[in-house]
Amino acid sequence: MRLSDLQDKKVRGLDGETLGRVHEVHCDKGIVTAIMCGPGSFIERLTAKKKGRRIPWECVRKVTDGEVVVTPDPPQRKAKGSTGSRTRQRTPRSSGRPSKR
Amino acid sequence: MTPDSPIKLVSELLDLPLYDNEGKYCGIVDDVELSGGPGKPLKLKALLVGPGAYAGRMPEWAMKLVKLMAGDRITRVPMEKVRTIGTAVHLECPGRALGLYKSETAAGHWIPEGGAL
Amino acid sequence: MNPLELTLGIMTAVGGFVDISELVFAAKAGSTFGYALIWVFAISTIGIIVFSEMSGRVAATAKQPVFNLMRHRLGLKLGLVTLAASVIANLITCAAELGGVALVLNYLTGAPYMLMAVATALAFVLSIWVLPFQWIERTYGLLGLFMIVFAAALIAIHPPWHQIAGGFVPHVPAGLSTKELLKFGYFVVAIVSAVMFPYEVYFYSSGGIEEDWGPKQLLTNRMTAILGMGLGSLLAISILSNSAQLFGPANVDPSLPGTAALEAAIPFGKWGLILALLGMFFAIAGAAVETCLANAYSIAQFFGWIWGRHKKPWEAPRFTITWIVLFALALLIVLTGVDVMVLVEFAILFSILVLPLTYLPLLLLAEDKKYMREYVNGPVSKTLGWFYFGVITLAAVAALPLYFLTSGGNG
Repeated sequence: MRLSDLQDKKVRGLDGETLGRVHEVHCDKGIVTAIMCGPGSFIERLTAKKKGRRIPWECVRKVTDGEVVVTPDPPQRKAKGSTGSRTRQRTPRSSGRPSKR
Repeated sequence: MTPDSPIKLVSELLDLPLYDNEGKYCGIVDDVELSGGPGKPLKLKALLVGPGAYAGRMPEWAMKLVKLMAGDRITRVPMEKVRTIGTAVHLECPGRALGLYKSETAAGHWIPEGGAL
Repeated sequence: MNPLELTLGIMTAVGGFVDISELVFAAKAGSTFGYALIWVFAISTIGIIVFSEMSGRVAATAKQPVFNLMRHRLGLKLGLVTLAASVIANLITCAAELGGVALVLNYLTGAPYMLMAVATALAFVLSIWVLPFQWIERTYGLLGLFMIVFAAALIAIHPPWHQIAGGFVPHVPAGLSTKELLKFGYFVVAIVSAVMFPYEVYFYSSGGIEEDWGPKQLLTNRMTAILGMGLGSLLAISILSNSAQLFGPANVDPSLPGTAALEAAIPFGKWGLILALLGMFFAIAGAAVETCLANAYSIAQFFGWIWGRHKKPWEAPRFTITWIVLFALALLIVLTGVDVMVLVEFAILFSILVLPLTYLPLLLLAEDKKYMREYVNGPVSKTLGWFYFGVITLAAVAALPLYFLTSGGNG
C-alpha cells in the first residue's frame, strides 16, 4: 500500500455515512496510528494546522480505489484466554457472593 | 525527528527534499510505501522518489504529461536508511548507493563537458 | 556584511529592474494618463520589495527555494497546476523579452529582426553556459545601469516636479469617462503585474540558494530588496514622467520600445539615443535570461532534479537541458512573427492570474516557525504581505474582464 492510496480518499462509515476525505495520516514509531479526515483538507495542508476528525487505524475496515471504509469504534482487543465476548468480564470475588446485577 | 518519532505523513514527510549523508540533494519524497493493511498494523516501509511515484497522486492524463517531461522512474529508499526528518529528509548513506542519481547520470550523456567558468 | 557585495547587489537590482513590460507600460501610462499612474508603480514596488525580501529570507533560513516549498505546501496536484501556469506565463514573458532585445538590436544595427532574435538566443545560451551565476546576474544587471540616462533625461527636460510629486499620491484622475476609467483600471492591473512578475520571486529566491545565503546575509537581502528595487523603480517612473511630458501633449502613442528611447534622444541627441538603446538592450536581455532561468529553476525544483548555475552545466544535466529547451521554445514563439507587444500583453495577463498562487505559499511559509525559526515574519512583513496578497488577488480577478472590456488597454 502507498500513502497515495489513502490521501484524498473519501471516508465512509459502515452505515454509508460520508465522513470527509483523508487529508492526514498520523504515524508513531514507524506505525500508522490514525487517519485524519474532514472537509478542510486543503486549508490544513496550506496552514499545517490541526483540524478534522481523527479515526484510529484500528477502525479502518477496507481501503479500495476510491474510498476508505471505517467503523465508528475501535475493535475490542482480545485478552489471553478470553471467550472473545464483548461483554465485560466479572471480576472474581473470593466470598462467592453473587454481584448485584 | 527520526523515523520513529510521531509524524504526520502528508504535511511533515510527503514532498520533502532528500539529502544524502554527503549533503547532496537527491530528489523529493514523491510517495511513501506502507506495509500492512486494514485489520493489521500499517508500517512505514520506504520512501518513493521519482516521477513514477506520482501515479497514485494525479489523473492519468496528467501522468502522461509528466512522463513526457520527466520520465516514470521510481527509486525506493528503505526507511532504515533515513536518519532524520525535519524540513528535509536526511539519509545515512550516499544517494548513489540507493540508485538515486541514475536519471541525472543518463541525462549527463547529452551535455558536453567544457567551456564553463 | 561586505560593502562591495552589497553595492554590487544593489546596483544589479537597479539595472535589472526594468524589463520590456515595465518599459512599454510606463511609457504608455505616461502618454495616456500623465503622472496619474506614478502611485501604482510606487505601491507595486513596495509589494515586490516585500515579497522579494520574504523569498530571500525563506531561501536563506530554510535553505530551500520557493518552488520546493510551494509543492510541499500546495500538494502535488495544485503544485503542478501552479507550475504549469507559471511556466506558460514565464515562457511568454521570456519570448517577449527575447523579441524586445531583437527589436532593440534592429534599431541599433539595422540588421533583420528575426536574424537578431536567433543571434540573441544563441548569445544568451552561451552566456549562461560560460558564466557562473553571480556574473550572469551582474553582467546584465550592471550594464542595465545605462538606463540611468532616462532619469538624467527627466532632469534635463525640467518637468513640473510638483505634478510628479502629486503622482505619488493614490488617486484616480477626475473627469474620466467610463471607457477611460476602465482603461485606467486596466493600466493599474497591468503595472501591478509588470512590477510583481512571478519570475522575479522565483529567480531571487533561487539566486539566494545559488549564492549560498544564510542568516548572515539577511541584512544584505533586505537592503538589496529595498534599495535596489526602490531605486530601480525610480527609473521606471522616470520613463513614465518623460512620456507624460514629451509624448502626452504631442498625442504620441509609445507602443513600440523604440519610441521610449526617444525620451533620451530629445534632450541629449544621438548619444542619448544610443545610451537609452544600450540600457534597454541589457535590461531586457537580463530579464530574458532571468525568466528562462526562473522557469528552469521551477521545473527542476518541482521534480526534484539537481539544479543551479553554481554547478557546471554537466553537473546538473536535466536543469541544463531544460533552460536550453526553454530558450528554444521562446525563440520559436518569436519566429512565428507574433508582435512583441502582443506577447507583452499576454505575459502581463498570464502573470497576474498566477500571482496569488505564487505568493500565498510564500507568505504562509515565511510565517511558519518550523522553517523560519526566529526569522519568521514580523508584524510589518505580515501586515504588508497580507495587504499585497489582497491587492494581487483583486488585480487577478479584475484582469480578464478589464482586458476584454478595454481590448487590452487600446480601446
